Amino acid sequence: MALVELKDLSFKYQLADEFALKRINLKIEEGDFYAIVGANGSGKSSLCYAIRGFIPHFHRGDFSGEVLVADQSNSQRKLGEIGLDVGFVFQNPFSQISGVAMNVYEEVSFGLENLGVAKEMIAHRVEEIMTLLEIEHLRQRNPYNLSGGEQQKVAIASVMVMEPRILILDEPTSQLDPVGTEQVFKAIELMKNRGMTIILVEHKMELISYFANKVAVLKNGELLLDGPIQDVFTSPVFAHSQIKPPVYVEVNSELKKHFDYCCEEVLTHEQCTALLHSLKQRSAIEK
Amino acid sequence: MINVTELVYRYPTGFDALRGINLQIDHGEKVAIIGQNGAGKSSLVKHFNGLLKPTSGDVTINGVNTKEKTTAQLSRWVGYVFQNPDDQLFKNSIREELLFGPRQLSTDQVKIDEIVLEIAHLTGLESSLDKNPYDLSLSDRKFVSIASVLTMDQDVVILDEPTAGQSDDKIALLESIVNYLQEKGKTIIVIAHDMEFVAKNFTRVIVLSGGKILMDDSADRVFAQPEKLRQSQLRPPHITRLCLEFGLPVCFNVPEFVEAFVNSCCKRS
Amino acid sequence: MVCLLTFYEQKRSWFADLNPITKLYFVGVMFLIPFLTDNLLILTSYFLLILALAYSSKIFNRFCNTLTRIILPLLILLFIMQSLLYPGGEKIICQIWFMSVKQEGVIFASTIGLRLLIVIGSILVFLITTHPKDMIMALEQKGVPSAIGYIVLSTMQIIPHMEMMSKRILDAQKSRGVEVEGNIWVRAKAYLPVVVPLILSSIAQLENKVMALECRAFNAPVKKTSMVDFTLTGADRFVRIIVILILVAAVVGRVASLWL
Repeated sequence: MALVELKDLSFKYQLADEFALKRINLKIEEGDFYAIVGANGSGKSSLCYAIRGFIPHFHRGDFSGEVLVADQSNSQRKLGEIGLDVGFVFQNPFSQISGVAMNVYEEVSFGLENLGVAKEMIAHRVEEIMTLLEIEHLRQRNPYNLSGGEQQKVAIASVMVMEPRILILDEPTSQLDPVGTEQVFKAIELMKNRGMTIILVEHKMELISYFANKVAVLKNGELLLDGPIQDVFTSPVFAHSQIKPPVYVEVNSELKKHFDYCCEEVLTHEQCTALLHSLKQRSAIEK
Repeated sequence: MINVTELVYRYPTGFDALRGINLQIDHGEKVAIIGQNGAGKSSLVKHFNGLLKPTSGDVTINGVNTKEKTTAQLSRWVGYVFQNPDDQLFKNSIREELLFGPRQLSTDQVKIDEIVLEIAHLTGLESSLDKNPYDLSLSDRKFVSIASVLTMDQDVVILDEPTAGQSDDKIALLESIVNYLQEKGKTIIVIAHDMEFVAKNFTRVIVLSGGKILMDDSADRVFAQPEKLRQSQLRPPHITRLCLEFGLPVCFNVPEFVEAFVNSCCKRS
Repeated sequence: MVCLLTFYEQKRSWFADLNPITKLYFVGVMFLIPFLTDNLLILTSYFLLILALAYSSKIFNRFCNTLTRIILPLLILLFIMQSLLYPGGEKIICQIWFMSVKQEGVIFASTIGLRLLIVIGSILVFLITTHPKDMIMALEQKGVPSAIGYIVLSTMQIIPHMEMMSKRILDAQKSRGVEVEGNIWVRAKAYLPVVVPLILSSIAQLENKVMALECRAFNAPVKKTSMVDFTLTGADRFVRIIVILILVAAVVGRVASLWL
């Protein structure tokens, strides 16, 4: 029984001409690390809003179909209630700053205070998440004085620390440098290992193929493909998605023009180097 | 063209953003500035159009010291596209937005109309000229703000993280814009975190870290030094990492890598 | 530039440590008592009381700087207008060119000015010594919905927030050739390219902000943890009594002055 289920979901924003989401049917199991990919404007953020309940509670428009989270329909629950199950990190870090915190430490604690978590637990969890995302050095800084990338990490920390059952992240690394990006992905992986279900909108395919286990591809508001990573990225339908698969998929198909070997899924750096090493050994032996 | 001498910049909060930068960028160069969050990239390029004035040291544009001019005056030569388009857009239609900048600089309406059409075509906005910018998605609005600076036809164009949050098709559009600017002989300066985009499109890469220049060299040489890049929280492009792991010459695209790999396998005989 | 969205300064003092509601009692009384008297001496003493409070709360410099920044232009305008244009004034203090400075005008301006200083000064003392989260929490414990506390906070933040955003927008527009340095006409032309993005961005951001707060469980149907203890101390009770006594004395004084 899926933790999140979208049944025939369609939605058009009030002032829009086109539907942002068209008859989406999707199931997300508990413990999944589900990536949502697609070109800009394909409906990724809208899909996430629907799971969190912002569509239809906050964004009005033409809504049909059903969104079930933990077997309960979002349409029948209040936003505040859905929030106890579903955490959300938005794209824009600046507008996620609460405005009630004098420093980063208070900012990260804010969500836990609102959840009524005990004081001692708050201190423990905040320290842990700040260490994980390497933002301890920012603890006394005013959140508004940080750079965009630093603000993004603080926003992620502030939501992750709340340990929701389902964590949705909408392009959380768009402003981060490469190492910062990896730190965030590793932290997300840790959350997943603790039992959180992850829904991640991203453009960085190489990292998705390493960390995620399933992916949904959106195009013009429709669900083009969904399922396990290897099935989706190697599917011929993927070519219609307007986005590129991880670079290693291209390496694999290019190598096949020169070498004769069984179809192997090559989606990550590790898989690619393993393949290349074996091909090198094989050609050394053959010579 | 752009000369930076012993540039030091300290923010009013006391934070030392730039600690002695020496740099020269010539006409027509394509430069990418990369580095960790907080390394001083934006602080550096904001000196090129006078938004920031040096605490000590000098920045000259075409021989003119930026301390002697306002940003609006320098905007005749230096264009800056900010990361957030919503800080800029205020007209009712995209056409008006594109017309705004050039009208500050000149009164030749014929020439202005020509360039607006050209840039609209380049940035994929021709069919949206009569729309309100806020009717478009954030990703498309970024192109409106890029277009509204390009219509000013300045010698130097600075793009601050144009690739952030963009999907592959939009990045391809950005690449065609960079090519167009190069053909026109413009000096292009880009700040980016997308290493693939930087490696493929920029011949010169400057790496900043902690307010200083860590490396200033060709893309080939910069991305061949992963240890040094790590100092500024950076990584080489994915395909380059494969090159380095297999002892192959640094390259940035798949066909080149595979060819080099195949050759290296054949050489073993 | 240190960016603060509230006036709050993290300094501990006897006044800062009081329950926020107690401080609001103080503010409430300071709103009322200036309007119960016309006596300049009494009004001045009320203001001196506020200054003394600011001093003993270790926020004197901050208080004076902010108050001056907010009120000084207004006060100057008030004095000029009233001194020179007060209707029906007869006692002339001095002449400036063709205009005469009238004593009644000066007295009137002083009364209004002092009232302004007292009202705004007391709010300022409250804001500088109260952590915004504490204010929301204290109100919530009194039964006020957290949403209202947040609306109050956001309203207070509007001006500093816009100040912060307008700097970014100004930079973007300067880069497009909009000249902002110069005489008043030059700056007037820069108005529209700055104000329009400011308002549009603020509205868009407000929407995002509400959603983001929602995602910090602001409206969660659970009781919030308070990091601060809001039980009333002896100091709280003492201050509340004193403040009410001041109010009573002011009312009695007013009634008495009307009778006699």
